[in-house]
Amino acid sequence: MRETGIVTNYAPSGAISSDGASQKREDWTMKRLATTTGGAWGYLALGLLFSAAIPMAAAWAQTPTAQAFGISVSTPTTSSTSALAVLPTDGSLGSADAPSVSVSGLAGADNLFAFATGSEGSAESNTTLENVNLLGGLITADGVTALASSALANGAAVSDAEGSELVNLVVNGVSMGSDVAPNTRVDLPGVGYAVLNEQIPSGDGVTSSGLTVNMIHVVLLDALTGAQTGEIIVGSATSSVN
Amino acid sequence: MFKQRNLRLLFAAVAGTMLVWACDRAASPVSQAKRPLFWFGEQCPAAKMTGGGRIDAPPGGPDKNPPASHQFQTFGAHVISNGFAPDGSCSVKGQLEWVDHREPDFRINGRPLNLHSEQIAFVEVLIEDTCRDGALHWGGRLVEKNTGEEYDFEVFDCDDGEPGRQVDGFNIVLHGPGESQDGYTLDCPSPPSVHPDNICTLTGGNRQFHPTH
Repeated sequence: MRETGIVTNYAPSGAISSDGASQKREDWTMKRLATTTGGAWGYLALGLLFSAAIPMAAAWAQTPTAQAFGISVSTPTTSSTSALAVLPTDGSLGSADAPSVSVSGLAGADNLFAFATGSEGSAESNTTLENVNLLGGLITADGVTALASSALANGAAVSDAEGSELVNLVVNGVSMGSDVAPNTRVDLPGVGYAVLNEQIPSGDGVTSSGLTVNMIHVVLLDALTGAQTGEIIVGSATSSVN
Repeated sequence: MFKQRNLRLLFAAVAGTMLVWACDRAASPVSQAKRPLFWFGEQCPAAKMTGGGRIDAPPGGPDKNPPASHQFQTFGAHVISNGFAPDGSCSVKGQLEWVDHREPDFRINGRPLNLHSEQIAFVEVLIEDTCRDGALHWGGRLVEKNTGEEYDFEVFDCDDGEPGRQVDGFNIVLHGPGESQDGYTLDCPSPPSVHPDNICTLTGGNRQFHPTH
């Protein structure tokens, strides 16, 4: 059996007896404190000097982040994010779900679920959707799963999107199957373009690592000027650790 | 005299063998009900387990099922225990969110089976050699959001290193008072699961065990 290393404190600190020995230790401590008070100002000054140069403990703390959402639409007239789950700052669990979402005829899906969780050295998020329909059927998918996971492991920081997938994806009438390579770009004439299984890494891979996975990312472009007019993201999961 | 001593040695050897046999784990630790059978360690340890991910069960091995099968589960879960409180109760909190995407068996009222914890009641160390970074057995009360039925639940939670995909393990078991999902658990034999005792292997995500916090 492996040693789990679990530490449990069954005795509250108040239970420690105040017998003669501990009283003697208390007296000794007070005496030492009194004799060193004179030098304390010097130590205090040194402490202040060093504290200015050393980051706060909070800055050193590992700060995982994670979030996931089902559908996000951003246009000049519409701004909407559905089933958004964000990892709370206390490192517990964020969750969201929606039975059905439809955004201004631009995007729709059923059975959206999103979870974001993590703690020191680890962060995960995932989202699932069904019956995805974008831009009046220009892009459809039976199912979308996005999953991002980041962790500190063996002196390295790593992230991956394992578990992510597209089910029966059809773009502009062309079946893309389910195994779409990361960052596959497909032009959408008159509309813009789509990036499928978009994966955006971050971090240095040693002390930090992050990953954003957008399973379908549509960039809407002005047909005349080519300027971006909006975007639709379906199935997004983000995680990071440092 | 010589024969009597040999006889005593023989009895001692038989008794010792029987004792070892009685204390050993069963060769096949999975019960007929396909529920995990484990040995448990310290109750209410000061520990934490966090993370989430995906399981493809059955069969619950390290590889994904074909996408069109819809045969997978996603979840997020965490449990945090501060050990025993001065009044002797276990100071534990946490959360479980669970979705079973299988069709058609786990479509209830048009939605995938969706479980949401309401209370965490216990946590204890799970003794499982294949969970090298730590394992916990925890649970409480949850609600099936599709129907509103409530169940007691257990989680078998296994951290076998980082990153957790294809190595960490997870499974849940439901008990009444609700009826429609009473006995619900995933069927994850080993192999293909890398863990014995019906613990499923994550195909994505991670479980992170924190011995103290």
